[in-house]
Amino acid sequence: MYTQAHAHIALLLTIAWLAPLASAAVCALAPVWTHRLSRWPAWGSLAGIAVSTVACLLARDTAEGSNKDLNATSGGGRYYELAHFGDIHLSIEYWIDPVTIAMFLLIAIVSLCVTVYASRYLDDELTEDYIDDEAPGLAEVHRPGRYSRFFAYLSFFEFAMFGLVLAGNLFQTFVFWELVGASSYLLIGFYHERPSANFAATKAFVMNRVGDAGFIVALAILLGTTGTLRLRSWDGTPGLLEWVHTHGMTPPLVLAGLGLLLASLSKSAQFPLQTWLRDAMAGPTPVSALVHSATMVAAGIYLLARCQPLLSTEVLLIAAYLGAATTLIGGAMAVVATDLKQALADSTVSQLGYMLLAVGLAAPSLGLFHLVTHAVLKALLFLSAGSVIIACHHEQRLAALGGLRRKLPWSAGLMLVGVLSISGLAIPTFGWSDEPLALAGYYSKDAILTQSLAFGQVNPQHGLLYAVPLITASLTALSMFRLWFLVFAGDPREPELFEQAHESPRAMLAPMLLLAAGTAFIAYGGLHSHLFHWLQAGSPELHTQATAYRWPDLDVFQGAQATAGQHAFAAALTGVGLAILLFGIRWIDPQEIARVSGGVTRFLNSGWQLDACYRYAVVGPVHVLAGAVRYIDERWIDAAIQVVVDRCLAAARWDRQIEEHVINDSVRGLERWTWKLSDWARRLQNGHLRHYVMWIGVSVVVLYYGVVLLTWNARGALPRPSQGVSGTNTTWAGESLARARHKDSLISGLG
Amino acid sequence: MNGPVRLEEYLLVSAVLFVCGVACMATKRNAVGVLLGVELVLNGANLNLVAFSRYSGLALDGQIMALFVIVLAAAEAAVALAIALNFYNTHDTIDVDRGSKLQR
Repeated sequence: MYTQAHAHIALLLTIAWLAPLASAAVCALAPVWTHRLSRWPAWGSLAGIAVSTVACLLARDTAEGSNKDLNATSGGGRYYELAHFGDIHLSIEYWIDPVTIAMFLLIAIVSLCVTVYASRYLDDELTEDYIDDEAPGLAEVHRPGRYSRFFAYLSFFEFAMFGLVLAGNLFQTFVFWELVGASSYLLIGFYHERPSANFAATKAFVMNRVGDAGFIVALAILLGTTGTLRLRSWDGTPGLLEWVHTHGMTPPLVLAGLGLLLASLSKSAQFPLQTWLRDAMAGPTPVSALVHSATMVAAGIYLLARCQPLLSTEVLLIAAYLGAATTLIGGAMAVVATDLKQALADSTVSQLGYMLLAVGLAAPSLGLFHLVTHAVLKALLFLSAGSVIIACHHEQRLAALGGLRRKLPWSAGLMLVGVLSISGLAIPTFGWSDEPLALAGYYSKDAILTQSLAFGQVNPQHGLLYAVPLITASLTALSMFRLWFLVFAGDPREPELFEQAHESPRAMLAPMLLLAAGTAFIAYGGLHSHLFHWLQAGSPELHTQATAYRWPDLDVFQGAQATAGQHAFAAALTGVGLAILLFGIRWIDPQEIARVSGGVTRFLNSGWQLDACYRYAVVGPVHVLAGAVRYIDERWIDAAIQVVVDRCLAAARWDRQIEEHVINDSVRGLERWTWKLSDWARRLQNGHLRHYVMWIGVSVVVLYYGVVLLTWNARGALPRPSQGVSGTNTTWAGESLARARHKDSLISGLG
Repeated sequence: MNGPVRLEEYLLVSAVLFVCGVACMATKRNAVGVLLGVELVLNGANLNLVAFSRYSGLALDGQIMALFVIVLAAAEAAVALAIALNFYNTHDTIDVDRGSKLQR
């Protein structure tokens, strides 16, 4: 029964995976079957993702309905074997467990909301002449709209993301990792007439390549050491996790773990590779909502969460510290951000740091929990930011917005829900129930802080791992509420912009409503919630090797829960309070603070000067190297080729001379001589009878002597006549002479 | 001139006749003159035949052949004269150089 349920789930998830690919193909071929101004490509993409969503819901019901133990229907299988080299098999495989189904549901629902939203957001692409004047300093660009292309890219991204989650071996994960990166490139560079978009897309892709290098090294080490790339195996052969469980951690695996960590740092925009996420906001807002907050940047965390037993404790600790550092970096940048989407991007970086911290503290299920809740609420925040942007004619600077709650009440309310959730506020129940009433963001962040506190209690030298995220929690609350106040509260800073702002259409509000409901109820109950039960079911057990660090046991965790909860709540309240003071009621003027701390603000605004570091350390030397190579190419290689070219031309010219003079002249000479010969021969036939007679005579004589000469040597072979009567003279002249004499003698004898 | 007449002397005479005939044929402008040359050629050949009949094992064959040749020469002369007559009728002259319609 379980295997049949598993087969059903596998089929449903395969359909869910491939449906967006079909809709991507349909949208890509849209110029064939529809005209530029039609919305049908959006419906096509929507149909694909709707099929996926239905399939995921059915899979979830199947997995849940059949038993109480969610892991019973877990398993994997192989679709198709690509190649095998001895024992190494490269196949397209899948692995399904409750985490896979949960991730599928998350991606499907968020993609569904974003697709519906984007079908109205991108309305200004439904035109023959799109005027793009957003590149500062450049002239206006007129180009035809590309509505269908966006949905083709979006569906392709969904296909790649599903494939990444479904992958049964790490090589397949890597393939889809790259595909996700490629579709992110296409989506960020959607407005590719703008240099900023091109630059951002290239930067994102190149920075992801750094992580890919780590991924490839890790793949090679894992394959070489263990002989397999499957995380969990379903056919008896040991997978990677079983291998580590039996053989323990070996030095090559430490390197592999570092490689995987590097890969996830680049994909999930963690320090030091976080600068690309800010620039990636150059893409359309639905892209930011789906790709760069909910799904693609979560892929790195997902990879690490899945591979957590493969990482040694040192690597995990590095990951935890990097995660904690990133939370602070992102959180501080978000507080001083001047652009609406930029603030949200910085907050994404910060929250991803929380997830990395959770994985680093050997609690991957907590990291995945935060991943899911954050995906929902960040998508909500981005979509409401998008409706503000659309209402204000693509005005994104915070300095130009304000007081929009009167004009966009729904967007303001829904964004407030998202802000409350991410700030981690809760209503304490004072004993009425175990958990306070809170939105999803509270539970997951609280759980991570609990884990870090427990870890700090067990290993006191790592207390920073608790302090920093706690401070960042208040920074998160501060920055998010600041954002809300600057956009929706107060007085409008640009009245003419305010006048023509209007609420978004229902097609854009409905997905936001759904996401808001999700963020309210998806994690109700925290660690006892349905969602966490799913995420924990599939997570691998902690590896039990002897280490220098002690992992907190469950009772330590539960003991720390109350303390961490109180601290987190206090931090969030501090942040909110500061936000209200500075931006809500304006008791302290933030401009004053900005003037006083101008240097710090500039430092933070530049992304902690990390971009400048990269420019000096990496981009500069590459440019120098490129210049040197170009010099070699232009001066030396091209010159050498030019010499060869010149020689070839000279040879060709010489060949032509020969052809024209020698060959042509000889042919013409032959022609001339032939004419001369024929002219001479013609004179033989002049019609004079006597000449003809003379020639007859001459030729007879010549022929006769010719024959005599030719047969001179053969004369000896001529047959001799037989012996005559007298027998003395054997020539026929002599013989006839003898006969004549014989007759004479006869006649004389008679007479 | 010592001894009896040999074959070679007859052959010489016939050769001379032959060459004269050919020269006549080649050089005469008069058509009748060409015919005279033809006669001379034939007679030279006749003389050759008879000389061989006397001095070699041909016996009377050569002389019979010479009789034939004489007859044929006569017939051929008649035909040739007819051609010459026709030639005169068409060209109004007996000069063979003038009848150069054979020229290409």
